[in-house]
Amino acid sequence: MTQAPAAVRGAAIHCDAVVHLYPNAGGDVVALRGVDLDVEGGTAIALLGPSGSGKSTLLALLAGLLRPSSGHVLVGSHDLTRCSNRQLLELRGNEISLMVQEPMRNLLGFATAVQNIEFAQRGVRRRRRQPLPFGPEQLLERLGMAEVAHDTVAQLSGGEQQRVAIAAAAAVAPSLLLLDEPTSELDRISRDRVLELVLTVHRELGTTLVVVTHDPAVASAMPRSVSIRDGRIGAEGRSGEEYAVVGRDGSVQLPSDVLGWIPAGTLLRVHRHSAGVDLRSPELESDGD
Amino acid sequence: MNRLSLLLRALRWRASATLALLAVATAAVLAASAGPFYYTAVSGEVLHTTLATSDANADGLTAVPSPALAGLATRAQELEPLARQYHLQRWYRAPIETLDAGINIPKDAQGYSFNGDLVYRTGVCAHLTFVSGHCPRAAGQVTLTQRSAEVLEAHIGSQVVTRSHGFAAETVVKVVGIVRAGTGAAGYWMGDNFFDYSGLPTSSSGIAGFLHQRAPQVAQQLPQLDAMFTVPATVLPLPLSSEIQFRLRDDSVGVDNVSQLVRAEKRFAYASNTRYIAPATTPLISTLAGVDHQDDLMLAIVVVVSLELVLLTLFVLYGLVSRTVEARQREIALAKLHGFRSLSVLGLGLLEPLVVILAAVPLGILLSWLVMHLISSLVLGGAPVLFSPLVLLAALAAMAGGLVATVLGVVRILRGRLVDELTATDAKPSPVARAALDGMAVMLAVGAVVELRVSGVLSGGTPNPLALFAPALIAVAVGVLGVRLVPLLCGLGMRLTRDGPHLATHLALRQVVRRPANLRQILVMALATGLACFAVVGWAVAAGNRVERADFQVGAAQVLKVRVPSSVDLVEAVRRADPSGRYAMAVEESLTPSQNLLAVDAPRLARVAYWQASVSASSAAQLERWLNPKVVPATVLTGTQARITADLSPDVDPTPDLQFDMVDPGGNATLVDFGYLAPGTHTYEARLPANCVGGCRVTALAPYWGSDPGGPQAVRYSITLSHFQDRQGGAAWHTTYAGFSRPGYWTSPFGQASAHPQPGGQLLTDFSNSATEELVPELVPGELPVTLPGVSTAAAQEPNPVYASAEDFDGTELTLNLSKETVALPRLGEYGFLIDLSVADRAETGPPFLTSDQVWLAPRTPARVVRSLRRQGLKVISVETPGPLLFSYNHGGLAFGYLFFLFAAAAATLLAAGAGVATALMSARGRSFELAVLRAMGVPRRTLLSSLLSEQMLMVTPGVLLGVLAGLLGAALALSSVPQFGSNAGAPPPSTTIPWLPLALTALAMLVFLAGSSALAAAVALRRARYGVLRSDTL
Repeated sequence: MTQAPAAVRGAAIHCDAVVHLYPNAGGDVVALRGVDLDVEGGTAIALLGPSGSGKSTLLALLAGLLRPSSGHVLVGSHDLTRCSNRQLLELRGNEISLMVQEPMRNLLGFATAVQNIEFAQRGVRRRRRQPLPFGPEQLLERLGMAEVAHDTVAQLSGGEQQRVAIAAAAAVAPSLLLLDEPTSELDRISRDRVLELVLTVHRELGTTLVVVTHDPAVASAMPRSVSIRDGRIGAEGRSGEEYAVVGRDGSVQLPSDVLGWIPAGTLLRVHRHSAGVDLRSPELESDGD
Repeated sequence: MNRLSLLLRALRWRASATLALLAVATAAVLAASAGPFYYTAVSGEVLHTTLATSDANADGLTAVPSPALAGLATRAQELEPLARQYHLQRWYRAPIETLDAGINIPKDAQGYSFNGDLVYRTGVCAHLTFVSGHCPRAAGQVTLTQRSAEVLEAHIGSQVVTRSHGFAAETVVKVVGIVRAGTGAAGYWMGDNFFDYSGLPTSSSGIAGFLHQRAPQVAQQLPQLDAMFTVPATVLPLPLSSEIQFRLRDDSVGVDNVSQLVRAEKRFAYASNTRYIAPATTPLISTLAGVDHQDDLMLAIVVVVSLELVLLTLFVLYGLVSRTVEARQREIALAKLHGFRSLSVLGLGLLEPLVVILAAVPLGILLSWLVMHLISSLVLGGAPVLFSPLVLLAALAAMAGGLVATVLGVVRILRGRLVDELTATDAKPSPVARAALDGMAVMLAVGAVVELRVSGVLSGGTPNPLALFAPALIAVAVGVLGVRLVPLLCGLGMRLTRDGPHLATHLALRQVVRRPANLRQILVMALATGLACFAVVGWAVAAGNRVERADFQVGAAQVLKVRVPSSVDLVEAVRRADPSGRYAMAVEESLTPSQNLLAVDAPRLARVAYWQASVSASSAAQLERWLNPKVVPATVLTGTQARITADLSPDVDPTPDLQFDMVDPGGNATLVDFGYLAPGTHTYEARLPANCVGGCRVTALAPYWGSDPGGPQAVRYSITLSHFQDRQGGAAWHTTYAGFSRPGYWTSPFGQASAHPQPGGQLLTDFSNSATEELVPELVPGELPVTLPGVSTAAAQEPNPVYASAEDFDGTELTLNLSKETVALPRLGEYGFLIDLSVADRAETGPPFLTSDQVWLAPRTPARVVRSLRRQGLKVISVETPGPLLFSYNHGGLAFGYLFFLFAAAAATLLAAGAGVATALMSARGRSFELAVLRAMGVPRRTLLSSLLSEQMLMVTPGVLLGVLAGLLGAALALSSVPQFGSNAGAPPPSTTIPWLPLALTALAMLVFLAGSSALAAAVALRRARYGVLRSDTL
């Protein structure tokens, strides 16, 4: 980037005891079981978790595509659970950008990269407080994709399509950028280029960034990562350190490597001390003896 | 952002689907707007043909000033401004005034008097061919035709004395011009014949023969000369009749001005009658009323057929536009994701299909006009194809399906959940909603058919164009049922083939079950096939009925109107010309409007005449036998001489003169006189009248006995007769049948005579003559039964169901046994009687009048038969064939209505094929991925192709079969109720037998065409299934 972009204030995220159920004929499916999450404005986090853990549901809730069954989701000053459809639509036009899985689902295959970005910018309301910081070609140039600006996106490679999709998501300079698996199905080189682009957008625009990923490399590139398992936030990584998260009901999810060592059903004794708590298993202790 | 550029890119991206939609939408507009275009063109053609073949063209408008005011009668110069006041000059030329004074030209040197006419006719000299002299310029100057001048022995400068009918005063006119006799055929004469020269009476037949020859003018006593043309001043002082004729301008009457013309004519006629006491009449009004009737029926057919096409386009476009909208689901979701306002989302989702279908409107209308223009050039003689608001209305109605799909697409777009739209691969409409819609469609269709049946439209009584709705309604019902049943059957098939070796079949069945939306094609194909089958069946039946009706109304393949010399017996002449009895039949037809009698040589009826089984419970052969009963033979003398052996006893004084009354072949009374008898047995010879060359039928033996003054005033005598013979010239004598040995053959109608057969072929007759009796005793040979067999139409039988009186050609009353009846008779229509010609001839007591002698010829009659007829002395005056009548039927509104149904069927077929292709192409993009996967899994291309073809056949075959079923059911229900003619009165009932061959050929053609086009589209779809498709999932 050769020129300083206009500043965008990233939106803070506050999820409070968010529960989400999917209605099903054979019984409702619980996707999220009381998620509490706070993300400061202008920061970036990665949402990690196995398939079906609820991370994409959380992303959809943050984008206002779904409404939680209970709890609250706040993005900036907007309580998404109380917003009307119209307000949600406006938010998606001005404040929140979501890039769904598979790049071509985010793009008009028959249009060029420039036209796709123009298309994304059509959703921006005129009464938006801040004008868009740059036009389509300017944005693509800034993101190093000037050479594909006028190519039909269907003819681009998978990595290029992914980058155009990210550019299109970032085109409205959102205060919250949500990316669902932006590096899936990409080789390492493409992944790194995409990751670099994502972080560039985050840094340059100051937007809050939430990335859903399976890829530990992507998670490690983010200053903060949140792991979701069985609809709950189980762990957080900050600056390379892994932490378990105590749930509202006092539950703590053990790290997956520990979980393999301590099978389900194992009785643990909790010892409190000045630095925290220890979990001890009488059976393991006797084995150790 | 250039939205137009984006739109164009999108259209190009989906080029095949876009083009398919454009093509089908264009075809839909074409099909729907074809009706109004066709109607305008055909209306003109029907009007043109009807006017060209009707009297209206020749007769024009005629005002006849009241004869009560002769001398002061309205003149043309008074009516012309009136005509102009009502703008009649738009359609009519300047009036032609005729002043006609009937005159008598007293006896010439030979003792002949003549009838004639002194005529003034506007502009007549321009239409006469002068041999010498000039056009009359002053009062008293006249023209004469050459032949009139010849019999009057007049020349230029001659003076001719004339006397007006009923006036004693004479007018002397001067011949200033000799002209050729015209035919009166040119348009100027407007059907009036001023050249009706009758010639001089022939010496052989005398005045009676002349009267027969001039039968239409039987009341006239004198031979007729051609009209003498003169100036008004010559005729105005005389008692005259006048008429003022307005001749139609060529091609002035068109569909666009016909109502104005009728209005103007009515106003003119009213004013002419009330202001000028000159009632004006024209056959044009009734002709136009007939055209109107045809036009109304045709319009009804065109409207009904167009609505059926619109129904089809509705289904087709609904399906295609729905698919187009569905294909844009992800784009719509993307717009929602980017926070587009609802209007923008709608614009994105609907703009593309709307642009395509709106572009199709002008394109379809233009193409429709071009197609109709072509059809007009080929079939309608280049009748103008005019644009009317109805065209636009029809085009927009055709778009209704697309618009309905668009509206539903709007609802779906606005109500759809974004999160679903972002993840779903195929939109799946609610099965409940679809089932409800299908159920509603079936109920509406069946309900409509029931309503048509209950309301009498389909009862087969009064023809009603609404009956044409039946096939479409049935097709919709069976088509929807097919849409529902086929997946069930395919599901069953899928389970059966799951573990079998037929992978292609299994894949095809699976696809059909998985993609129920594609099965909508079954409905479209059933509807198109149903319409096509019904149209072909209806057209074939109607065409056959038109031919049969034309044949029946003319009577035979050829009807020769002949002039028969008095010496020729028509029946015998025809029998001699065609001894086989297969080709020719003698016929006599009454021309008296109230008589309605047709006499045929009955033994040839079945083989020569066109006869339709549907007109009577009896077959032609049965009627033939019925009409030709065993009757005693007549006594006929043929040749130039006759002789008879007579034995008179006792000797009476004076002796009786032996005379036989006869009628010649022309029906003229004549006699053969053997002279006064001498006592004892003698053979007497007599010359037969000249006309007896063709055979004179003996009607009575009536000896003449005249008493001498002072002699006995009454006598009784016997004559024993034998050896009744005739001969031609010097040929050998030929014994004629005379029934001398047959008891009861000779009877006495008035008494005073008796006959007794004797051994040895002798007849003993007794006569009792009295000078005071007016009635001469006579014996009549071989009398016909009192009741003669006849066939009558049902309408003619009404007063008396079994016996009826009918007039013979000479006016003799006949008592007919009418046990056999028909709906109609050839040439006569719904009211008439049919008898045997020989019987009719024998029943006649005088010469027939106002009759037409005819020879009917069977199809493929050898030319030698006609040559032989000529050799028999028959002169062919004119030849009538069913061709012109068939032409007028084929150019009638109803025939054109059926023709339009055929065009509509072709359009429906194209639409159905287009819909099939478009559906295949639209689903090709989505299908290409899974096909590519199957290919990657090692499924051979051939198997995939076979699977795709089987899949298409699984949709096309039920569609076509159900369509054939719908067409058949529709034909069975509606064919008898669909109007085929303006009126069924006086004609055989139209046949409704379904022609199986055209139906089978249509079904086969539909199957091949629809399956072929679908297979082509399937092959195109397979070509897209390359491995490269697997690398990306593009929109």
